[in-house]
Amino acid sequence: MNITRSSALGAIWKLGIGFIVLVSVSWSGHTLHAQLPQDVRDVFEGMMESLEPDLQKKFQQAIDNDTDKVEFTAEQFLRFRDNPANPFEGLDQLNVKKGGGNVALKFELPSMRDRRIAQLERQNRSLLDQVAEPAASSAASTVRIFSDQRQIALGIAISKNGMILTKASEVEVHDKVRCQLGDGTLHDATIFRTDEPNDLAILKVNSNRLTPIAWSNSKPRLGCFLLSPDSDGSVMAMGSYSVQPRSTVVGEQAFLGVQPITSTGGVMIRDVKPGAASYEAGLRDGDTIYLLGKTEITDVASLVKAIRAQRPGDRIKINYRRNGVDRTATATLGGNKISGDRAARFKMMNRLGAVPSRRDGNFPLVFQHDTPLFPEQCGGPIVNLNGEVIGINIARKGRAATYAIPADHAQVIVNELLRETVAEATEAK
Amino acid sequence: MPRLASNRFARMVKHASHRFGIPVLLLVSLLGFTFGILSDRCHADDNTVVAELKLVQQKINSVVAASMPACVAVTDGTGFGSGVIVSADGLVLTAGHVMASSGEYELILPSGKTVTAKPLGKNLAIDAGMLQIIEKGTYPFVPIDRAGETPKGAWVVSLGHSGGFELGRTPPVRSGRVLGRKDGQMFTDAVLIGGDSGGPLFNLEGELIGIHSSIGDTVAENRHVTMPAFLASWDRMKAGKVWGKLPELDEPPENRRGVIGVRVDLKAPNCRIRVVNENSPAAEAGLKVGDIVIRFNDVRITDGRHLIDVIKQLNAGDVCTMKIRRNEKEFSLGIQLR
Repeated sequence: MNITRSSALGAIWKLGIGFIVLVSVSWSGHTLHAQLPQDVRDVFEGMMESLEPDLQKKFQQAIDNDTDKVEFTAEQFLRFRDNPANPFEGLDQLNVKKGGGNVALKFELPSMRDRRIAQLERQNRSLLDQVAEPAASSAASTVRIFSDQRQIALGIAISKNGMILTKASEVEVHDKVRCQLGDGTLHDATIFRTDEPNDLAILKVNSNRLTPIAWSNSKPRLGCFLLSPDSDGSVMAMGSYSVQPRSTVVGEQAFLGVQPITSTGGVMIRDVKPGAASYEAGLRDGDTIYLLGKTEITDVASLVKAIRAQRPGDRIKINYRRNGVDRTATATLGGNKISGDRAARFKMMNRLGAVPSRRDGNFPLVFQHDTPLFPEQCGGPIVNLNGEVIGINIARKGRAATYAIPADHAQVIVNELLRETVAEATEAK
Repeated sequence: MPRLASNRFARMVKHASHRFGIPVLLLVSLLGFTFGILSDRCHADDNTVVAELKLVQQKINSVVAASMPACVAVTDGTGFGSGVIVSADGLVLTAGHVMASSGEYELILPSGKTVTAKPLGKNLAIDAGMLQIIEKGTYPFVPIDRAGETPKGAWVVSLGHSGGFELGRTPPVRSGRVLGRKDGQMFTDAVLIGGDSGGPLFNLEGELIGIHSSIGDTVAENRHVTMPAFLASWDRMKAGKVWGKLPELDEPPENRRGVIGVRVDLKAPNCRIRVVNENSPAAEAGLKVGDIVIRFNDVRITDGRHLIDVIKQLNAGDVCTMKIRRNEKEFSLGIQLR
């Protein structure tokens, strides 16, 4: 083990993704106060749900007390060390035995937010500064949203008289939020309306000097560069348009449970396994589907499309051919299932260099891009190189993906939310 | 410095596979357009940079449109990786670690079409693998950049089935720039995640320049097997040979025994090189078959067995000097163990 530096506290080892200091085996904890860095706090929160209640409490206390030090009993330390949700490696280098004294750890991480960015990277400041011009007009409509002294999200001004669109799940959890407008002034904000499915909220501030956003219905091609502006006119980061708009609502994707092979006069299926909707309906390997509901199935694409048009639980009539004989079956479509292990591994990788948003899925319609944003940078506009506002950043999904709601869809939701308001106002009269 | 890179690599592999049981990348499983104008030293006005980026963007759009049909999802029934078709008759390149099973693989084309592929060879030392689609047909494929000279700073386009094949989602497009290259690997900030392993990296001309291999702790650490490394192993892989070893997963690299990649003649009275492995430290240092090793570091080498014993004491990453006799001439060279 390399000892990279030492301090008054003791030796500091470079361990896995973090640095951990073994302060002493009987450290008492009240002599020093250190703030808990945001990155470390995010890692604590990320692993929390997988820890036992007593360990959860330890880390929650650290978050509440704003400290990066956690003291464990030897037994707790060993349990934490061996918990698969613990991303800190190398704890086994510490010689702790059951029944030994307490162990206090100081958690440090190389900062994700203030990472040193190489000159050639797409996120280099000098490059981002040179593409600020197209982002400037939407930056004027961008606001920063704070709770206490911390930025929790961005928002988009949608009316001159104080309406601000933002990410609901980031603002709902705080008692008091304030919006910082482009001129630097801070205004108390109240939650005016929310749309849970799309995770959007409209905030209201007492100001009549907002610059409403100009949405665009421009549809980018895959691979187009995208910019995410901050309220000060700078570009926070740059990305590429990765995937066309789709639903990420879990369970909304209906599954028949077949592997399609193109065939003449329909689509031949295989890999029909017990438990799958297809098997339960009586379909077997080698059957050729030629009608699903009322949709004619001519190729794999038409089969995929016909299934995608359904929802899990839907019952659908299937016309198919087996050994030259036409038959019919009725299938109850299933949902998308990902095994727990695979989900856990993917979750871990999603946290390498990224902090997923507190709500990062189940969106009815989002496009995907690869801009590395942090949760508090979501809720603002995303623009193309022409400066056209093509959407609102709604969530950091993880290491390789960020989701944004397309501008036209966002406008529909906003109009619906505001129409509710008009209806209520009319009723009140 | 180079050791840092290899340490981080090994750590990443360990991170994912050690804790969660299977190699990282299965899990979930554009040339020489140098951008001088974007460098720090240039003070071009915004319009010029934006205009240049629009040109890059146009090329990326074309690369994506042309290449996507050839980007396949690879599955053995449990894990998911990616791959890319490189010939009309269905030769597929992927990452070595994606080919974790011994049986046949199922490939899903972005169109939803499913085909079966048989494993050919793999060189695990560089994480390269090759598959052949069994069903006869004419498949969409991408050209290979054989020169492998995509410079640092060049824009690149990445495709791959992140998190595994997803019905109704095309393989996500990502972009970035070449940040470096070393030991048959290319490093970029085109960000990867599990499921992307084996997927293609392109230059702006739409030529294949890399195959996704591994990731590190930050979003700027993404590693791809280069095409020259692939080409050097091509014939053996195509012939179905399997060799090499993925980086050691359980021991930290500083404790891992190093190799130089030669076989010595154990019957000779001196230390005579019998085989120099391709892409090994020895090959890179310029060792040739027939060379006689006289000294390794400060140790006078008596015979082949002696050299093996000396190297056994050393770790991967150690930098050593060798004294060689070739054609009655003696000279020294430096070599880094891997």
